[in-house]
Amino acid sequence: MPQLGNTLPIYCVSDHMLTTLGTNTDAHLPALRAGQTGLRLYHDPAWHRDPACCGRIPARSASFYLKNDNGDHPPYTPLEQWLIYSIESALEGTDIRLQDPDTLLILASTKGNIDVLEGQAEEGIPAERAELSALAAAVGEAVQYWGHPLVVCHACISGLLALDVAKRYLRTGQYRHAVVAGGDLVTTFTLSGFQAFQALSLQPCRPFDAAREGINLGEGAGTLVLSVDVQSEVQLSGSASANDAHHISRPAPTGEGLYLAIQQALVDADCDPTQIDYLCVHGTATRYNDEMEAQALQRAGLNALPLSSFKGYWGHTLGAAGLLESIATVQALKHGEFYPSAGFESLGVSVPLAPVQQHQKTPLHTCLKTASGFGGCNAAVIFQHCNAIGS
Amino acid sequence: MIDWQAGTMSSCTIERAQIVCNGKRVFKAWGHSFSSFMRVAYRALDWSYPRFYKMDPLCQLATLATRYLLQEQDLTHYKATEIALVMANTRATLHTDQRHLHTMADADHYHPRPAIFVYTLPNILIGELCMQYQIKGPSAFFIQPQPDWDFLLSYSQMLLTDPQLKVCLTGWIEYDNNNYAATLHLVQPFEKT
Repeated sequence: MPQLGNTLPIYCVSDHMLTTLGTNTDAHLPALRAGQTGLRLYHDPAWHRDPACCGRIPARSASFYLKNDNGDHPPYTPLEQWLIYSIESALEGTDIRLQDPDTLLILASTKGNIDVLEGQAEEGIPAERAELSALAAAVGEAVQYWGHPLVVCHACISGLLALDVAKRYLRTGQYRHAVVAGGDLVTTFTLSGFQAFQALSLQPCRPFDAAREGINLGEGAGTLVLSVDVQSEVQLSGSASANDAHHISRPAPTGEGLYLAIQQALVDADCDPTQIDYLCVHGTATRYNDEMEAQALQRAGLNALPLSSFKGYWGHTLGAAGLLESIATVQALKHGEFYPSAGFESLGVSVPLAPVQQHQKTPLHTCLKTASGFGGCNAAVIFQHCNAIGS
Repeated sequence: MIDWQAGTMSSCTIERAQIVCNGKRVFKAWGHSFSSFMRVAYRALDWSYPRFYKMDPLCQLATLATRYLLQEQDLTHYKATEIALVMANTRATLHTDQRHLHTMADADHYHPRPAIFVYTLPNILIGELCMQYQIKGPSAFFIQPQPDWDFLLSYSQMLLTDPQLKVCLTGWIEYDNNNYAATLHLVQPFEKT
């Protein structure tokens, strides 16, 4: 039985990015074109006891984020404010409504309101809001969603996996639109954990570079609006996830799961590897991750293609990473341009790769976005410009 | 209404000090703490997997539920990429999150540990099962206010419309402060072609 709607176009209608670099997608483009990092060293003992190089979202008043707020509710946490703002901003100017049962809302996060569990919450925020279901209920209500948002919590592939989940629902015809949002904070909880793994860099990270020292965490929220009804120039044409079956905190050295996810996403998109012209990869700048990705790309015959990691711009935003980086990928396709892989100078993996070093305008047709995470998880999504489809 | 349970080939539940597979009680041990119950239930199996002792409660629950389930129905005739995993709970990894925070509670005794931190992600239990059974198919971990089996089983069926996939291990795995519940279904596609 052929999969229902496998050829049904899924359009990337609208999007929104909130990171250290800005409060909307367009605000990110000048930095992406200039290869300019938003990461910097913070030493703020009230936030974290050790210095950390991160991408932090500056503190803003709730009224900045809550545009349609009537004030008749308990306060929202910072992450809830970001998500509400991102979802509402992404839907502005579209006719897609969250009150409409044809619209699915998916939230992706690794740790949700972890600040609440850490006892850092503002007065009036109940302790139960540390649970992702409570965060989802609060955000769902604020954006007037008709149901309870679907929550994907799957380590660093959460955001990309949420797009895969949305794709499946849109193809069944159960929904016409999917609003996929994700976000994560940077607090002592995750900083200390990655410190314990000795995975944090005190400099802006350098994915795939010989001098790479590890990751930078980043705060962020992002929203990508998908639809089968509302057309746009970029489509999500395939996706897949796969597991390494190797180790819970280290990727398979052969890139097994990532390779499988890429292969299956290509099949799902009915796309030949030779059609791909840009790789927007995970690129965390840890030794293990970047080498694993290089191996997987070589196995897939894709290693010679122009490649970018966006971690050097706003950091690793964990559950939001796959979404924010997908939005950057969609922008690359729309504007027809390669963005420099920030922090890269000289190759530091054992496979020849071609990280982008200069912003370049060029018509793009098909981009591959990947992510990998703890638990051996991997996901891949293929985005295509409408010029590439049917040609 | 679709009876989503109709796709279940076999199931296993661990709850209230007993393990029930396909409606039949296969193990009980009253009067134990959670960790001691896990140990005796593990030892009752003819299985040596020393990693079991390193796992957090969620992974232990998922590991035992899967092992008991697969005594009734094994996965060995499926290829690694033919098996999917769909898992969910409400509290994510709250218990281990608190353990991780406890390692930093005192600024003078600040010792976050990788072996605890890695278990602060609920999908780690999927990673553990994938390692144990060499499963490489698609997976997803969802957070829900309460077990929504219609959702979990219908989502599994949606995955199984992919002709590459033959079976899905679908489960609810919850642990918080000595309260535990695990239910696993081995799901096959409604329409086998």
